[in-house]
Amino acid sequence: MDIFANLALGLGTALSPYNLLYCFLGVFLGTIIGVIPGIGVLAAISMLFPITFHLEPTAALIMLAGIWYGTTYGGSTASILLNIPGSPSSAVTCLDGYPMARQGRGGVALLMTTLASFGGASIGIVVLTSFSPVIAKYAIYISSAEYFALMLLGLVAAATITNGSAIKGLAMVVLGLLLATVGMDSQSGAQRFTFGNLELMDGLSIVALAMGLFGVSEIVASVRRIHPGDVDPKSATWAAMKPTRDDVRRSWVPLFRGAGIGSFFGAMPGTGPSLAAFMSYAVEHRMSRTPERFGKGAIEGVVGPESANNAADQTAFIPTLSLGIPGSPTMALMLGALMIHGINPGPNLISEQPGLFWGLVMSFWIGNLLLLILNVPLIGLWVRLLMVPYRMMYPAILMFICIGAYSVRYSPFDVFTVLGFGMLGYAMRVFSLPPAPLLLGFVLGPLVETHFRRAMIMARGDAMYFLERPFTATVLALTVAVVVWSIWAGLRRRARDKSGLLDQ
Amino acid sequence: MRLPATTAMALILSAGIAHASDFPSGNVTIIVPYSPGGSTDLVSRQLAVDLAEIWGVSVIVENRPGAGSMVGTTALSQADPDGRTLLVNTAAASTAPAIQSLPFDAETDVTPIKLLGQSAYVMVAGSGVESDTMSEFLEEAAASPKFFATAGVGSSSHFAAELFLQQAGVEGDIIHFSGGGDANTNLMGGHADIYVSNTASVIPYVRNEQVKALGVLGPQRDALLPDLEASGELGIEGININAWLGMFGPGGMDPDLVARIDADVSTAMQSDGFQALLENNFIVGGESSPEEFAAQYLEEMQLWRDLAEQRGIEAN
Amino acid sequence: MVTKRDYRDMVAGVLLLLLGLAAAWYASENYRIGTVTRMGAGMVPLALGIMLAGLGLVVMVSGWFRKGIMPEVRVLTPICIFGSIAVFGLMIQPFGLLPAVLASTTVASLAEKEFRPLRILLSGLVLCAAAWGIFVFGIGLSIPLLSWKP
Repeated sequence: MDIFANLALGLGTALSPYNLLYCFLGVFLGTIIGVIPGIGVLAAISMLFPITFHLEPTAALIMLAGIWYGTTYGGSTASILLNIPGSPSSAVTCLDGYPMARQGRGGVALLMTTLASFGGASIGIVVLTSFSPVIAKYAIYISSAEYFALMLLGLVAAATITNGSAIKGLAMVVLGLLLATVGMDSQSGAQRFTFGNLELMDGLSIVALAMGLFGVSEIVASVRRIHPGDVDPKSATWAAMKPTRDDVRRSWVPLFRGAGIGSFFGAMPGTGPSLAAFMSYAVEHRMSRTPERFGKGAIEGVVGPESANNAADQTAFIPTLSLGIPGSPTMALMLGALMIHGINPGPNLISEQPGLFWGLVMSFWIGNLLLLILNVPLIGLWVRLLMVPYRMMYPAILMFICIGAYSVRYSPFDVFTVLGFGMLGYAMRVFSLPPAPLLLGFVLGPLVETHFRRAMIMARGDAMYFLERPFTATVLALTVAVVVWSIWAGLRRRARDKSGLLDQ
Repeated sequence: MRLPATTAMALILSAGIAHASDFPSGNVTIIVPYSPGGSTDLVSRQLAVDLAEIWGVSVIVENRPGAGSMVGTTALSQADPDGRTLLVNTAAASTAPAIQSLPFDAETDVTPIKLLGQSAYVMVAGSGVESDTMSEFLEEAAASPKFFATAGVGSSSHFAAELFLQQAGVEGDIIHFSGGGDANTNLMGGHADIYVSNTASVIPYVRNEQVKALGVLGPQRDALLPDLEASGELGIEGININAWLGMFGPGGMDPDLVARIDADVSTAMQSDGFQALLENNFIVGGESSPEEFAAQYLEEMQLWRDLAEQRGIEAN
Repeated sequence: MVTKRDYRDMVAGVLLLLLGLAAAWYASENYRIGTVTRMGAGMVPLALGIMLAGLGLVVMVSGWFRKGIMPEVRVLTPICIFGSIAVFGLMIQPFGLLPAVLASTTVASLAEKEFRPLRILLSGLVLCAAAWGIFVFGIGLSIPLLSWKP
């Protein structure tokens, strides 16, 4: 069957009123869940999972998938407006989105993220449609050594993600890696740094970490500092949502680059949208002729990562559907929904269930279109939030953070984890230590360690193992290059800036 | 969703001693100590649907993954033994305590209730292995040591692999992956060679010809998989275990209550949905009594503890 | 205020140094280090602790050779905000959602430095309604609104 016949078949399936309804339901729920910090996509999908027993498999999958990519659209809203990551993958959107909102450009930021999300997702879908079997075939040859090298590159790139000193960034990555070792060691079963505490057996909560580090410390620093007059009332109008010619010009390339990065990381099991967003940000920061604008409201820093995490959301279905390998617990749940209905995902899924596969793929596109239609009018509503006096806002934000953290496991311990990370976040602010590298270190920590230790077992003690593998060797060389470049750029900057007050 | 501790506390306050006659006095929670979507999760969710019909109350499945199923089991051990908090686990229930130091006593703080199903341990090989059968593999592994993938440290696949290595006298390196899917992927890519696990976690990949089944562990061939060589046929002694799926309650449950739940679960297992799930995964429904299941659980736990000691497996 | 040396970085460096050393010491005391091929649970935390200590040392030393700005440290605001989260964490299980929201909102509002009981009460009640509407009614979380298990 040629591609157009497939697409027509898919479109027919996805556009049936029944499937369309569940698609809408999914993306609608996803947007709401994404906006609310704390409630994650996995929790949302688990709650709705029993419903899928009673649905046709295609409709069930369309709905679950809609929630999955819908949360990524919603996740950026809280990041931009409140500096609280709605989901871990939108944490990096805080870096430039929040400054934009404070400059009265929140509407522009939200509109551009929505467009970037749509653009990134569309490109991801094209990749999913055209290269699924090919990517699936090669993805399995990526072993622990390659994963380790890629993640090391990600970590080093993350260290220089903010404009401050690279040493401080690196220190925060290491701190993040260290915090990630809390809990059961995946390779030996030992309980590390749990001090006999049951709640720590499974590690520190990433939701609590992100909300404490970004959200709580932001509130502490902002109370009594943000006044109603700070945000121009005009910025909440429709006219103010319109991006300038300059915004558009700056956004094109990051959108495509982000989509490319996102498509790549999404297709690899176990990495996912968070890493894609961070990598995209790091790349835009490096590529920019004006890196000093980053962290102060650079539109590229919002568009790139949002395009990347949405593209990754789509390509994450490649290993899931074409190999039957879930890259994350959420994807495992999607597979579960198929297996309940007696469908075995695997290399034969596309040929055995063309209606399901192509219907799902086309529903992604329709879902993203629905999200676009749904989100653009909402922007007007969201930006009005900025008009609410901060003294009324922050208790509400705190409430959302507390309930959000509590709801993950119904555990007060997680609320105290937020408190702990809030304190750490405020201390880091005082000492001008960047929080974003810490978050990425924490996200990648368990993966980096696990892959490194596995690779060392596979190497059977041969240190050349890493260098004998072409892909690994290339990525490691690239990592070294980034380190050298950062140090050189830092020295050059220091030489130019005699006052020595650069890092402030 | 997970059980709110407030509800758990309310149970402790209100329940007192639970009797079989007035069970269930409210909603029942089945803890699944794994992420949603796996085979244990699917079986539990099907069971929840059937049990809800029998009991006339909501039966909620709660995923509490982590620490090789021991996070969820810890939660179970702390619940009130009124039958309203149950748990479904694999043979990991007997292997994980052999390596982890736990905040509860695995022998007395959980009550084995019902054996839901048993399957053979199947040995599958990835693209890095030439052999097509277990007998060929023994020769291949003797010539060059292989990598044995597991679904995680302390998992049943970890201990099954260690048992095979010990009884077959084969050299090999253990590599722990994050779950069965990850282990299978690495087999396909040739990064690891062998994975020994229950039918549910390998058969889908065998069916897709992504990995090949070499044989089963046990004294004789499995009735559902007659084409696969058994380790016993090849002169490998001392492997007489099966993979299983079972239901547990908190420690100290009233024997009458256990019998009541056992009977109801047996009825639920007759549903078409449950039977289809078993058949699809090459699992034989469990028929043993709660006492027999408890004896099997304790016996296996001792076996794995001894093995861990002999092979120097420890959490450190 | 510009200072002769960057005391902020120097203090940050010392803290990181101590944290790194503490983690490395704890890991080496309690977990097996192992060999490079067969790493124990302690190897990675030990290495990370040493790296963190090293980076802390660099931050500290470079602060010595640089002018700096003294950061402003807030006192009352963090106490109120952190206190508000702590109050929520302490009250949510014994007393339920609504009392926890009301109490934590009140404590958080104190950060405004002006005490207006009526306004605090009013906004607290509005948030209680929002908490119920969004989390309990909307999303269906099973958090009791009121309970009494001190």
